[in-house]
Amino acid sequence: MSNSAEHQRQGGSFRDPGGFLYLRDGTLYRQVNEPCRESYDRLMRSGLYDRLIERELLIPHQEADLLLACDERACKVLRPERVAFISYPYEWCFSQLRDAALATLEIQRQAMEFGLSLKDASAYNIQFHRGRPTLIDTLSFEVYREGAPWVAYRQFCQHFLAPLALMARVDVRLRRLLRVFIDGIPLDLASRLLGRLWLAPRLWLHIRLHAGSQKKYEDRPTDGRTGRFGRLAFLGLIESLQAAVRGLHWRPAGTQWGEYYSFTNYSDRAMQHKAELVGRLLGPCEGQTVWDLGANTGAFSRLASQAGANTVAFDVDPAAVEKNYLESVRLREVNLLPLLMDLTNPTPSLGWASQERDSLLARGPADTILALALVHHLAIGNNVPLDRIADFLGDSCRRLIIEFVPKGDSQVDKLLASREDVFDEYHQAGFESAFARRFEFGPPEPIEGSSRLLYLMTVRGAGGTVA
Amino acid sequence: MSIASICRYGVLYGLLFLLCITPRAAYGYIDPGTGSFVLQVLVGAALGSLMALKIFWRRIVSFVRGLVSRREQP
Repeated sequence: MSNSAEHQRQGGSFRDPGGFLYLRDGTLYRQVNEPCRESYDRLMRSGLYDRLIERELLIPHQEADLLLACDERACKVLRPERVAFISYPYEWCFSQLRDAALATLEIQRQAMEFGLSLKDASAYNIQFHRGRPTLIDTLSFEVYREGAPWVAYRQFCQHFLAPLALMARVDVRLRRLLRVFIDGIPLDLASRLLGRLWLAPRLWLHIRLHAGSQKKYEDRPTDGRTGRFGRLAFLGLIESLQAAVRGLHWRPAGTQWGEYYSFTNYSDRAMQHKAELVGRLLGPCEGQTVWDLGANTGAFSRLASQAGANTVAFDVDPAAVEKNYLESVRLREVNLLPLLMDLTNPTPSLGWASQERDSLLARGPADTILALALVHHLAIGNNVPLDRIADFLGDSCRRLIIEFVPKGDSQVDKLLASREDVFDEYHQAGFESAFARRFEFGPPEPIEGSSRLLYLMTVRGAGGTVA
Repeated sequence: MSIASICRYGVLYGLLFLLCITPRAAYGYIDPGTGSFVLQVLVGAALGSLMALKIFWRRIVSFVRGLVSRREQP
């Protein structure tokens, strides 16, 4: 056994005594402890692992030397494939959460065929890996024991069904509740917010009646025991949950950004020239991480992802991210991940000791950030001084491709139309002065057919040269 | 039916009922919630019956499909 000081335990992996994740010399490992040996062996020998890998529902892993274990409780050490970017349910659009829910239920259905069952149904156990919702917790399985109810039923309803129902039937912005309630939305709250459920019998059963049952039995311990729940009933429960999830839909319409490209003053020529410039400034970026901030539906993100970069396309608008995700599914893109992110209030560190779920900044820095048609929204739309924007971007990346949109541009004028112009420093010289503290850069590239400028910048002290 | 056989069936069904409500251990490291467990058990019979009907229906559909496709083959 090696010295534990060499190991870095992962903040979100501590609840299950069956094992945990840790980093050692930059490589990610999962330790399997004795309580999980039987179910892990069953997973590998039954054929379930191969089935789930074939269907891209489970993260592949290799078994590593036991000498690499973190402590003496280990009976196995696994080296799982790395996920390019860890994302959280409160950053997913409606269809991402829906696909993750259906993937979880499909995994449970497959597991039962092989005599296993999911012992948890946490949305945090699903990650988008190579474009597909994938279970990353190899130790989520236990041997199925005939007659026992699904131990993860409550968690599934709180993590998936309740938020999906609220997003589909009440307001898509209620996704944000997942950030407040880290173990899923309490069912009594979801039930109250959902209102009448007469025509939705499955939601009535799995949310309203479920909440009522929780309330009725909250002070009545069953000593970990309950009545019999046969295999057919179990399969019926999974089918019922699948039908409930499949019955939920959200169609993006009428939001601010979903139609953004239709309302800009860009000519086709300007858009084409901007795309050419961004493609040229990106250069060869295969294997690098690129964050597109304010990505809208991902038109420019795809310049990076199609060049082989692991690209995350952030936007604040649920409609834009929904459209981007559905397009990435349609095109079967493997290295583009659309995510919801409000840059004026980005994801903080959350959970136990504020270390369980990472903040946006903790998941960086990106090799390159694209900040196209973004700065005026932050500087004028949200009153963030230019030097603070430069600091945030300087902390988040090594290289920056940024567009400056000056006053006089119709998009900036629209932001100023209903307010006093208190932005004296918002001009090209002020922008360059603010960013020069954190970045090195050369002369900007003007975008033809517009007054906009495109800069390639490198963080000071990060190495590399500006083209 | 004699009184003796009614008693015999009564005992048999009584034993079956007791078997059904015999406690089963809950597994896993997360709290499944007492109410969540109880609800599953309460609606289990209905869910199981629906599932049995679905499986039966799917078998009929696949049987009929098989017949039709066999007929269509030359």
